[in-house]
Amino acid sequence: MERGVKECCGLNIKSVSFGELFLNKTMLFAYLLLAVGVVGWFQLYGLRFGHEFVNTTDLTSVANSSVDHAKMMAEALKEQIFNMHHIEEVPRQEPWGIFVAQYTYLLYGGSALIFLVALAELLGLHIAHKASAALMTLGISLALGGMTSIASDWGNPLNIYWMILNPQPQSGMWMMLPLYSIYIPFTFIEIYFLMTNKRELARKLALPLVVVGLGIDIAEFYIQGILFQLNDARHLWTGFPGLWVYFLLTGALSGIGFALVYAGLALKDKDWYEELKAVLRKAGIIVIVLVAAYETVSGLSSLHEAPFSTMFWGYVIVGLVLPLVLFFLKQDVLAGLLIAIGTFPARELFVYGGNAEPMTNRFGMGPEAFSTYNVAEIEKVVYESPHSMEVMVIIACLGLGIAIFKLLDTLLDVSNQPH
Amino acid sequence: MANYAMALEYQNCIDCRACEIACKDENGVMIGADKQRIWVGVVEGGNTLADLFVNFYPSQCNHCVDAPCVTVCPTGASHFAEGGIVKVDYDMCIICKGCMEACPYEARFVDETRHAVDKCTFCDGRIQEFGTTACSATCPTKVRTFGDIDDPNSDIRKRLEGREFFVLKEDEDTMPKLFYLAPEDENVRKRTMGEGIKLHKWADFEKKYKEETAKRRDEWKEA
Repeated sequence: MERGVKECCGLNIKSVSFGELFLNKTMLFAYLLLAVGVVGWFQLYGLRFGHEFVNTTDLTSVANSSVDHAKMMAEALKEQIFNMHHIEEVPRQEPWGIFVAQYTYLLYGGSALIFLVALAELLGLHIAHKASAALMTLGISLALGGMTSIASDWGNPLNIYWMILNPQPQSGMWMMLPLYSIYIPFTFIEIYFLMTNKRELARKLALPLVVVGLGIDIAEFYIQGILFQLNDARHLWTGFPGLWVYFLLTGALSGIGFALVYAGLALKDKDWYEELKAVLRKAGIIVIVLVAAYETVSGLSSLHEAPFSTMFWGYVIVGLVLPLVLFFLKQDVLAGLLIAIGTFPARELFVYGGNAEPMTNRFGMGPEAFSTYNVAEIEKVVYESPHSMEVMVIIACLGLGIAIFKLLDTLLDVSNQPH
Repeated sequence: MANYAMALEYQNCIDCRACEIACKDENGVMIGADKQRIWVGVVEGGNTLADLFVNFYPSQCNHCVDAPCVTVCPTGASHFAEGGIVKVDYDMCIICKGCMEACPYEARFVDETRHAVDKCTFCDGRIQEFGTTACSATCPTKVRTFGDIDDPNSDIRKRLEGREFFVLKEDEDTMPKLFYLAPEDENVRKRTMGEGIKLHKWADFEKKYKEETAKRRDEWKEA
């Protein structure tokens, strides 16, 4: 055993100083992103729980209250009447926004990366044995960042215990609870067996673990598909052919992008660096072609209005076309970076695009208005740009994913597992 | 147990919005132009003085028989209360906004004073005492008729049996319980309904309605 390494439960854990663990370059970068998010979270929860909002019951109570209380009510009322658009966090016409986009971006990307690694293990790819622990850890770290984003989206998370006390198995969103209760520990078990010193046990369990892992990954994407498709009237989502397959494919694309960026930053000195890049390049080309084929039948291309058209073409050019060209030029890391950047607008487009068609019958020619998904025929497309506090929070979610990965990498040295 | 629904003689609406005020006052609804449980949609049209028109569409939660908002709720906060009324239990809501996405009628909004999603409740506390909702009681032109649709002697049944009606976004298969009475005048009908609306008669509609109601009736909670 190396010096400075202690064994615990079959894992080699590095003895590192406080400075090495928390004050390295990567962690400082993550802190920067998290610091931006702290401002965002402060504003977000300040608005949700610290801001004075009034209802009609409050107003009737003003008659018996103090002058100060009445003034406070008057101020809140004034702001609600004249400034609601700016202080309101959730406009009724667009309930889901940038938090859900970030959730789908990081979680699907991370989960699909784990899926691809498990698939490579199953196929017996040589490189998988060397990079699997690092890439799976990267995948689960980013997935945890994505979950932080969705947790930030919930306006009143204090009532979350009702998901346990009052199970709703028909709800796609409730299904996330049992799913991730299994998924997260199971992924860590997979990573544990990739790195444990108990090699004999790991060898015996390798195949069943990989097969079960793939099954759980597929179940995850299937449930994510249900989550969106239960929204009957959101025809962009319900009309998507094989939505869970689309999530898996686009998630795989993001995952390949994340893996290439990570490889370019941290694995350059490895003798298997070129081999890893070559495998990721091939996988990237295949997935780009599949995703591009999918986009010809998906509804995303039907969104011609700004800003959806900007998101779509940004995604197609930065996330698909340029990376494909760069892959052929063997500029893999740059291709990965562009994929990682370009797949975010794809998630934005999917989430915001689902809300683009106004649901209400308060506009348009009577009740028949807006009952089919045809954005081109609708005069007023719904789009509310995210608040700056929301943007700050999603930046921090990425920072959190990076911090979790770096902590695990520093302690467990996942990048250097001999397997 | 009653099965509450509402018929709307929407051509009678004069856009006085007394219903919106009555609703806010009765239910302590949050202040704000967009924080409404009920609303009046306005459509203006026509090109010349001869054909200028304005249509009013009073609306609210449709209390769907097969409510997608109830299906997607992860905590059970959205539920069917007595009479098939779709309600939100504020103490269970996490504001995940899944119900707002699922609703085809955009009938829900976040009430920041309650820290929960809010929506029309058919004034369920009031109807036990007064037999009707605040919006229907206050309407000067009697747009709304509220009642038990399972009771053949109720006013709402009599209205539906005597008139053609339509429901909103029928293709979504949510089986709404707001029934819009089709105007009897052909010109008004054409001007307000547009194209492609399916008109129904209660005698033809009742069977399907009862079948759909039976599927989820066991989810209705007693008060």
